[in-house]
Amino acid sequence: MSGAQCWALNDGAKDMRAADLCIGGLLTLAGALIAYEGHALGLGQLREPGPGFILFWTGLVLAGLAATIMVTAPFAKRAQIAGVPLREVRWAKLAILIATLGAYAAALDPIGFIPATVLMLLVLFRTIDPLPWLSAVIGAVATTAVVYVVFGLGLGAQFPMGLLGNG
Amino acid sequence: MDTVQSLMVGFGVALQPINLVYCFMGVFIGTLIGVLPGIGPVAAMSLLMPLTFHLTPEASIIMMAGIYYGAMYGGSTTAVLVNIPGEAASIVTTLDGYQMAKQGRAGPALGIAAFGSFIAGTVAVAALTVAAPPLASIAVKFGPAEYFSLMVLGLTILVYLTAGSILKSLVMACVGLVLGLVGIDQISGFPRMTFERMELLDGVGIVPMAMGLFGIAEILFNIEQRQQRSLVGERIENLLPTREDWKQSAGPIARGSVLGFLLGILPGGGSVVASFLSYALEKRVSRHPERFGKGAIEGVAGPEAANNAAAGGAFIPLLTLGIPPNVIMALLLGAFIINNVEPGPLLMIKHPQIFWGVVCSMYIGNAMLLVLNLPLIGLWVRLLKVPYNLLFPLILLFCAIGCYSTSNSIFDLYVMVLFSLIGYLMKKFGYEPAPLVLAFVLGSMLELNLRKALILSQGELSTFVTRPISATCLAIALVLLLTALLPILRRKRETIALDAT
Repeated sequence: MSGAQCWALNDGAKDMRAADLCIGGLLTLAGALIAYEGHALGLGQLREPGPGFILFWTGLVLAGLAATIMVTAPFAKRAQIAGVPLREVRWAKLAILIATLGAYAAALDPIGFIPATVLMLLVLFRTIDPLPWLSAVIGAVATTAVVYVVFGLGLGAQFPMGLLGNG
Repeated sequence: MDTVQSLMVGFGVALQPINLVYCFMGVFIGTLIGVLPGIGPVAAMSLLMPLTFHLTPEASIIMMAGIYYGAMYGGSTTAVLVNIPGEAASIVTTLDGYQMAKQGRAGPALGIAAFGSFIAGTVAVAALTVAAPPLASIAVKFGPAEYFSLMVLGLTILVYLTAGSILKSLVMACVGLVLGLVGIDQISGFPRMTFERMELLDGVGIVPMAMGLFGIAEILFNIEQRQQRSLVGERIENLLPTREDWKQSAGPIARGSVLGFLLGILPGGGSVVASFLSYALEKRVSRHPERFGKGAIEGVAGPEAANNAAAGGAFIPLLTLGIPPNVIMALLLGAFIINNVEPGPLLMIKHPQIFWGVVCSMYIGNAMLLVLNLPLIGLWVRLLKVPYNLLFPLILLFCAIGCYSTSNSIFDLYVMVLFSLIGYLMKKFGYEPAPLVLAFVLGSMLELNLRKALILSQGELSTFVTRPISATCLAIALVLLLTALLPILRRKRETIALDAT
């Protein structure tokens, strides 16, 4: 395909080509590693397949299919990414959301369910189409209280108490 | 004991006030968690499992079963009104249900979903009552080769039905299969791909994976750009479908009931595959397939009937063989074991009050759901009308709580976060999550049956093609794959593929 034709593609199609190249490449590598791991675990024989038998063959098939995606990516004409083009994605919000969930997982044990949940909700309320501070604080505290009463006290879910005592 | 006597015993148990209360609690909680996106029946049942310690075996199984089929009802509400499946079996309902809602027909969409669910659910329980013993005897004849080929067929059908690139769907199925194999090898006891993490010895959790891929990834996709709320804002009215709606829906409900029930019995079939297949079937038999994806009521009636019938059918292998056909039934098996009751061929003889009590409670539970759901749709709508900047954090919190409470494991929260990111990228770049999740659920069963079949046949691969049921399944799978891969035939697939756009 000539450079002129490539430039004629819209942003969604160009993003898709780039993504297919990258993802196809990564999955080809992953497939090869899985096949290697399967081989290392032991293929066994057909009359008694080993623990690596299926992993090996699935890895090979995965590598082959992913390589096909990678190789054919530059020739794809119609494929478009879903939603908005990559340069229009609100990456900061997505990153904050993912980081907040990760931080929640990290904080749950040491500081406990109630403080961690209040903090997580506060960040989320202020990040996704931000609420005013007062509403965010009240919402975070009230939601945590209701959830703790329903799930923790009512249904007996075992939440870590962290700073607030023994759970 | 004949069927009438058995039913009398069953209704005697199910109609006891305490069991009615727990049946109601089960279907109500099931509907609620079905309505709320992100938290599904698996998480809810895990959360409520400790409660069953204090109940009688009948009450606990009745409540847990109620959560399952209640969630099948509830999932459609969110699918129609928010375009987010409340649980995985309602993914297909979003295609036409949401389009109907956008056209001001949310009422009939929700109404036909409720009626279709009730009819199919009741048909499935009736079929379960009558057909459990003979069907179980047929299923017993399935050997490892048949199970393996059946699962290959199930996966192929799903890949075939998935929209977009067949290559990407196959890649996702391979990834799901590999993920399903993480953990201790069931035959040799070797740990595989565990990276020396204790948490991975039991494999990757289905709950964190499904919540990440379906629940949180959807939220990430929704907030990637500033957007208007997609919740249908108009007042929901005319819940009772018109005569024309009934005329269009009667066939899909009948076909969905039969298809769903049969697929529910099969391991790995379940509600999700049943709803997908029902949609494809209705699109294929329709005189106007072009209406599908644009608000065809058949696209709601068929899949909703199918997923509820499958929920009923899934009880057969568990109650009669002691084999859970899906993750939810595996949890129900846990509830049986907690109560020192072993499900299987002897359940009907040793504990008839439990077997028939649970079966009869499902008749009552289905009626409760219909009576509850039509008047309560207003309540569910109000619940869903909470603005996105409030709703999304709440869904994320429910996902986190559901994920954590399933295993009390922080590691699972990290897994959920990881799959959220992966799920978002998959959605963005056209990699469908459904083949991945089904392959993941089937992965270990598929491998186990393949290896068993090879061991039993002394390494003869021909065992898969010399046994009639196995050969038929593989032949159908091959034809479907060829249909999808050959350029001339690909166009035909594209007309029936599940296009989520």
